[in-house]
Amino acid sequence: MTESLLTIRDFCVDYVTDEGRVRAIDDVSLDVKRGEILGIAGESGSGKTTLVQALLRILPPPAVISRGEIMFEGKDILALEEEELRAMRWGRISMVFQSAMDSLNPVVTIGEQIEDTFRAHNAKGGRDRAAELLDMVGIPGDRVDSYAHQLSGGMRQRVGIALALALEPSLVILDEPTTALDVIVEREILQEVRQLQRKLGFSVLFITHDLARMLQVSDRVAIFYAARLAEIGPTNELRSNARHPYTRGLLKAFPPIGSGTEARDAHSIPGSPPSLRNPPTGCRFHPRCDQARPECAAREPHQTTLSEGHKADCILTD
Amino acid sequence: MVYIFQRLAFYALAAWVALTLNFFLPRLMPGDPATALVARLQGRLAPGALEALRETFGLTDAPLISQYFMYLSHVLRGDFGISVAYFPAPVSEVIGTGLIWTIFLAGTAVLISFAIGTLLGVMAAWWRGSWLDTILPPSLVFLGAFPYFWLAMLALYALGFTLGWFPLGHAYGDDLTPGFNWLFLSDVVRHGALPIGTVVLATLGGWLLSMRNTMVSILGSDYVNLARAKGLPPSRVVLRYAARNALLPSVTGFGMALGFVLGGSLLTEIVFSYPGQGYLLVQAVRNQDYPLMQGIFLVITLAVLGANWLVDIVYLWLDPRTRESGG
Repeated sequence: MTESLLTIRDFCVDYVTDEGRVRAIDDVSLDVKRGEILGIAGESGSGKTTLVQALLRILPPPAVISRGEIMFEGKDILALEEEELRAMRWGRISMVFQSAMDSLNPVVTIGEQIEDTFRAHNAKGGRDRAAELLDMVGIPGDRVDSYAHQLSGGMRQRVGIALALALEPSLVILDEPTTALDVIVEREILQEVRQLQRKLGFSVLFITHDLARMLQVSDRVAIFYAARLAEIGPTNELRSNARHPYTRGLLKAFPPIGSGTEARDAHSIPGSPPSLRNPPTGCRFHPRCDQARPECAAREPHQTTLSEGHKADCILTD
Repeated sequence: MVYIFQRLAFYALAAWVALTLNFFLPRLMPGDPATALVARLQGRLAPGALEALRETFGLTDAPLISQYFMYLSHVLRGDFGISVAYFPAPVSEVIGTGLIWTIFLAGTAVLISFAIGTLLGVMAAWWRGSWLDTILPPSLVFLGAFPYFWLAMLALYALGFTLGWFPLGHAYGDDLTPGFNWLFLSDVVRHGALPIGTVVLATLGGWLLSMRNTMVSILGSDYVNLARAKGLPPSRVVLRYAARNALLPSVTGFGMALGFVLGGSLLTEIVFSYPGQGYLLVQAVRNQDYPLMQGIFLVITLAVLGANWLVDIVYLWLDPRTRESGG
């Protein structure tokens, strides 16, 4: 469990705009270990998606990587040539897209869409392998000739997972994979992912803003706030012993399912996330923090290791 | 399969409505065009022929309803009566020759325009922001915005009259007899080049723009992003994932264009004195040739319906989603 599959160090991404650079990811370091599920949570614009795009090196043009490194399976992703990059995308790192409804081509059978993946990477496998993959994610193999519109939303997302696993990657990114699904289907899908992950041993980067769901599924959780990593730690540690006020706020906003906490006890964090164009001085969370002290605005917090693998970025823990 | 027959039944119904309208409209007009016509031809016709003409018009004393059925049975046998302008040729024969030329002229023009325009649209969307995308669509739309006859006459004057590269009119040289030989066919192509070329030039922009715009939105769709992320080669992403889907709205337009164009590309055929449907229609109007007009209107109607049916079938093949909804 300790071997690191993906290592991100001192990583920064800037969006170059007319009014200057806007830092979308600010000095983030984290690891994904082999065979673990790492959850990444944060509000919209906190840098989750930018991080994923940077991982696959599909950042849209105004965004540039200004600092840091990403090592994946011992290779520097940022230094890969186009050809190696193509092999790595989907071959080693694949992804399940957000919208199950729209991520399949409506005029091509799902089987062919899986086979397309084999062909593009010169991998062995045809119709039979496609059916096998579908079977693996809980769809009868004889549905290979079905079209997307003949499947329910949950089944489409399962196809999405089958597609992601087609080339047996070592890292699968789930980008809010269940947003368009209802709660029951969502749970089924996540259980499926968990089972497959145990069976096949790939690592998962699970991105969502649903913290409660994330705590159920992930081994470790990383919380992003305003382009920075606010807190990272093992799920249980974070659930019971979160140290960053933002994480605690989030935990209160999403009462864990089955905890007996009623929805009326849910609290929201006052205010809204800061503009990255003009972030607050010092700790970026201090304008919304209920425990803020004068020095929070004056100096930036250092990342403090609280226990094994548990780090927080808060002056209170310094 | 059920769907195809359902559509066919629908179009048969539409055709019947058109036929009926075609029968009643002239009879609802003030005066009686048919009688006027018969009067005009009085003395030029043998009494037997006159009687036959009256009958083809259904100008008997029979009640309207039996006239109607007689008309229907005539139409079903392909008998539209005798043309006045091309007397004594039957209308079906006159339309027949005109139709062949129109199908060739307009059909080729629409096909070429659709194929090139769509392809350019795909490329413009793929290389969005390139010179192809910034210069081509506006200039083609600019060309298409000219009144077509002006464009056609300009081309005829410059390329046909002044430079003498192309013949000035007709479908083939007067000194040739139609036949399936190289000399004749190449002459047909030479005569068709200008009319076809001008139609293509005038309509290209529309196809390009509609395809480009659909493509641009589909290129941003999740399944295209997924296809890219899967590592598919760009050609496959563009053709199989994006263009294949973007084509659907254009196919509808294609069917409509095909249908309308079979009714005769009026202006093209007038400017280039091309002996097609549109040219015939003008002759029919000039000569108050009601049987011919009726016949041409009918052919236009049937052509539009037929083209739509074809589009339905093509759609069935292109879009699996339609396969169930009709069943």
